[in-house]
Amino acid sequence: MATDAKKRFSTPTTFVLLILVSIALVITDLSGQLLGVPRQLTTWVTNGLYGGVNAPGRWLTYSSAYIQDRQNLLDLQREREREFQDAVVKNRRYDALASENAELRQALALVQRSPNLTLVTAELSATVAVPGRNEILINRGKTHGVLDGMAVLDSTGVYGQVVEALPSTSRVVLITDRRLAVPVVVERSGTHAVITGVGNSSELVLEHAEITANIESGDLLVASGLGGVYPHGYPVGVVTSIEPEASGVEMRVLVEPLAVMHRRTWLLVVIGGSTSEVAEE
Amino acid sequence: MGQQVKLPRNNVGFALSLVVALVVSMIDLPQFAPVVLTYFTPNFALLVCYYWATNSPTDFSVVVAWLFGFLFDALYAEPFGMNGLILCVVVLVGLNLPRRSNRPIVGYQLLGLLSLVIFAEIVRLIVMQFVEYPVRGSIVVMPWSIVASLAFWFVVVVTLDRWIFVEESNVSFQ
Repeated sequence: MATDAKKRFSTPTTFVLLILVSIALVITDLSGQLLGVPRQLTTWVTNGLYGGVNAPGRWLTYSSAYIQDRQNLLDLQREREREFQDAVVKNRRYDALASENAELRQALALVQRSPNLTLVTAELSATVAVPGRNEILINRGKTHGVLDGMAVLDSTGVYGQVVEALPSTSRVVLITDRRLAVPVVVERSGTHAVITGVGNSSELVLEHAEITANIESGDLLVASGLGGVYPHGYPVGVVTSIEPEASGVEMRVLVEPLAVMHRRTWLLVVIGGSTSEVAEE
Repeated sequence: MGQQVKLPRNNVGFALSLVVALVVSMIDLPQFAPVVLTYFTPNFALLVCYYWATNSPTDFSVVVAWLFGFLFDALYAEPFGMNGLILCVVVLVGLNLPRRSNRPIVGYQLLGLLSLVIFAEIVRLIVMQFVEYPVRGSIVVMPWSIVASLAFWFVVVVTLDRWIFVEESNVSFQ
């Protein structure tokens, strides 16, 4: 019989007994600290059980969080690297702008200290890439008042001469070109001379300097104003070396131009005014 | 006269299902789970004991159920005896459900389950009012626990029927 089977494990007496025990336990537990020690023991055991059961989940959570954090950091690093590259490019642009600004300020200072000259600013358009020819193109031409033969200056020295003025551009031969000669005077002694280019952007040569000429290394050479092209007193170069020629009559004088060749962006073209004298600073 | 009853395979079914119920009760919800899910906590101990009491009345002992309840008291830090009391009543109801061919009638079984789940929540609510630090908000959570237990009942039935029970066999108790 099924009823007999039930009695195998669950007799009414068992039920009643267990229910009474349960109620007694609940009342005892609620009423005071009588079950404090068993509670502490069970808490100690169950804490371990909770830790064991939840350990895999916690490990998975930590692992995924670690992987996620690592990925986030890598993404952040890539983003920062991109920002850094952008910043470097911007910084270089700012440097270029600052350099250009300084150049313009120097040009402006030259204009201010040469009130008797009429100057027009010009920007370097291109460098003529022909061996042996030191020429450039500027973005000013006849429409801006630029004509053939006009002097070109930069903020530090004589730069060259316009040889071909077109409507909106001009071709300029630098003083370092072999074809150009600039009449100069030694500022210290007043000795007149002519310097020409040798095809080297950092070197000029003073022609036909007699061995007895009052020229010393370190002398500043300025434009003499003869010929009416270059403004009188404007610096041209500095004597760097003096060597006697084999003939014993002349000496070879090398001059370093003060104008910064090929590296200037902004130039000045003398389109009018008296070239006889430049106002002193 | 021989009767057809279901027998657990060497009591492994009891032990396995009770251990699973215990472990599942202890698992924390993952951090990304919404807080509202904590309301839907089925009473796993009740479901498993009720299943065995209704489907294997001859082999499931009320003493086992009571000890199981005692274990849950310890796990949930609830007053000792409370879950034992609830599970005793669960087994008592489960054993005395109307049967047909020694199988519980589904309608009565569900009605009994509903009554027991509500009874368990009410007992818990009453007893927990007397603990030193009453658990606030139990009355709000209670309906959701009942719904969760009823919904999870079908999971328990399908799982235990499929993986725990052995085939029906003829066993005579005479």
